[in-house]
Amino acid sequence: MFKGDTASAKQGDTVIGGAVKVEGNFVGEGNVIVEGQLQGTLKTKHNVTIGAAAKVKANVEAVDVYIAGELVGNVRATGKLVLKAGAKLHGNVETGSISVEPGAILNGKCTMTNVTVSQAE
Amino acid sequence: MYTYIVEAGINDKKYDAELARIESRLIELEMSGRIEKLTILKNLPEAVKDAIKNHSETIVLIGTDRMLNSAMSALAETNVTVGIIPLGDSTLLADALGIPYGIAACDILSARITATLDLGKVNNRYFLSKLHIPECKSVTIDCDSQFQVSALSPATIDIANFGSNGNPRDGRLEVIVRPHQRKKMFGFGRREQFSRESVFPVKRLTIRSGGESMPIMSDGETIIKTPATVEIASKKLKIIVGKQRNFA
Repeated sequence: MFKGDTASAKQGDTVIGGAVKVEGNFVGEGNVIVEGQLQGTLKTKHNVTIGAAAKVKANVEAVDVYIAGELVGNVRATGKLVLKAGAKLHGNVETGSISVEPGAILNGKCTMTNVTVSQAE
Repeated sequence: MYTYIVEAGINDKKYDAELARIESRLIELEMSGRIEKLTILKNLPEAVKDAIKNHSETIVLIGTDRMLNSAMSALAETNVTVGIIPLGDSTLLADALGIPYGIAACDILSARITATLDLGKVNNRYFLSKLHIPECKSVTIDCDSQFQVSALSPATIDIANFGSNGNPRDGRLEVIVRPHQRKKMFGFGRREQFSRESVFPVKRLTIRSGGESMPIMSDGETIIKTPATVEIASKKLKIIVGKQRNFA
């Protein structure tokens, strides 16, 4: 996805290719790969990959979320969020783990879940 | 009781020897039954109806993918078990079901491993493999009443239940949108190329084409035009399969 922009899809996965536009509430059960346009909401019990050419205006809920393109909306990733170089995320983030590459843009509040704060003595 | 229905195209002389070998093998396996040969005067739905009237528990279709697909509407609303003996020029579906060509299929029938498969349904017509919509200039697909997919460029669309795309036991159809792009090759001419396809697993969809109606085809024949609603009919067909089938 991020190198050659050609994520491999398995049977049961959803692929939103570069030549389609999806509008509405998308609830998937498998992995979702977005290379085109999406507006609305995107929820899946598996992972979401947003390709470098993708333009997404949606709140996203998934286990792991990988972003190389543009996303306007809030992200809730129960696993991890990965922002690749060139990614643009405008929205709040709630995730268990985050990785941000140099060159990625994150504009929003970031909340890490499952974190225990150690008491200062 | 078995009923064997032979596709009209298989009544050609070049298949006589293979049909005779199949009949002998079925007798050896103690699976002989009534044989119905389709003709201009007797079509497939009538033959299936007669078989059910005669209390056949297993209907075996001898012929090509085209026969298998066109039998679905007649078979979907019954409780019979369907078997296949692939014979003729196009037998890819039988391959995917793990059934070898010709006489070897008799042993698969005898082993009688059955699977219950989903069918696709468009209006009141059932299909096993897929529907195809040739190049649409403008098309919108409403999926599960939740989201809409619009093609941004001319595209061909397949709605697959079974075959190279689609698992016939997952309770979903796969909508595949293939954008059609024309690119110049070194300035000498044009070649059609597909950019990456989009794939949506859905249970129910409605297809609308902007402007004029587009044909929706099955096995190369137009069966309906857009707008149309297509849905999955879960666990509708009990069919004998081989161990080498391409689905779990």
